[in-house]
Amino acid sequence: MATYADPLALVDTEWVAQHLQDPKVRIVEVDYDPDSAYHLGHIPGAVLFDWRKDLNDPVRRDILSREAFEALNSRAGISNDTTVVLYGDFRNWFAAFAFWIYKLYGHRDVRLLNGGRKKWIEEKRPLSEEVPTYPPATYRAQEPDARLRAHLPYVLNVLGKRGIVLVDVRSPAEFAGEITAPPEYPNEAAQRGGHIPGAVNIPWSKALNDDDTFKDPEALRRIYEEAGITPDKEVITYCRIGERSSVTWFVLRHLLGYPNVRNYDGSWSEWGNTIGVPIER
Amino acid sequence: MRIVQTVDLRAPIELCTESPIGQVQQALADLGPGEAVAVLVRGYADEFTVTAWAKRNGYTVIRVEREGEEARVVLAILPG
Repeated sequence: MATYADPLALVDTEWVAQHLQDPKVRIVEVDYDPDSAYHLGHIPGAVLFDWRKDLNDPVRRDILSREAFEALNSRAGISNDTTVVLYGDFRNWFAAFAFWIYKLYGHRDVRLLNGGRKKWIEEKRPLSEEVPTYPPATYRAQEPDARLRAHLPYVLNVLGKRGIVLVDVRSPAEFAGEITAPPEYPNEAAQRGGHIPGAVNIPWSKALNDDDTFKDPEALRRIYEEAGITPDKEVITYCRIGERSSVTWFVLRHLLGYPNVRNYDGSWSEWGNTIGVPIER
Repeated sequence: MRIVQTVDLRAPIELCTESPIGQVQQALADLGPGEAVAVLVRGYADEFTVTAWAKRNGYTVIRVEREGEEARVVLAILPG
């Protein structure tokens, strides 16, 4: 049976259960809504990263700065040689986003819990309501790896170029422009619906089994290659705010080993609000 | 206790619709005296989330009826 290109990027629930007391491992729950996740019970010893408060810049629309990332890790007792294991709510979307940020800032050993929070609870593994504290650690992040991220001008510049493909991982209704953002997510609304011209629609969830674990490498390869997303091309993934696209970025870059994959985290909430950029429906 | 609304959380989330707990919260906000909300879930993880969230937020779990992988969680507001 084939293995994932980067087998160390993924751990299963049993591996986590065996490493709950491992001082070299820090488990981090990354939530969009901690009140309906982490605060109800979490993996014993896991610290919380609140996606909105901890992983985004508090003022401008951007991911957290290098300095803020260093401070966040220091507070969580994470040093540069810590093995960081990420999992979270909403089927691991925000954990995948955090994984992408860890790679962007050059962390060596970061892993995603296969199946996430849902699988851990489904297996009736232990949960804790105790919020742990760890002695602060020294953490030094690297300059962000620009090869992992696409900004709007970059996407505009490569539109239609041979060898570069865009994967829109949103639902077909969003791709078609029938939905921009639901009313309960006003910050994600867009003035226009549709998709970036030439993008291929492969919803992020196609990569997952029913229990939220990732499909096997052969199945994943078929999904993307049949849609023309092949490893010889540069791939740019996007969704609405960059979190679902982080899941597909993780699949292509770490599970299938595509060498050149960027996450366009500005995604539709940026593109669909920008005057003058081309849109397809 | 009369069930006045049923929230079905059995379909996988896509974030194109309301968040699961958001739907439960909305249904509970409209409850009157003697009324209850039924929440349909698939799997233990969602049953845990709904019941733990309800207890933490001052609601009462009246009963949980399980059938195979699915459960029907009945929630209400009881006078303290």
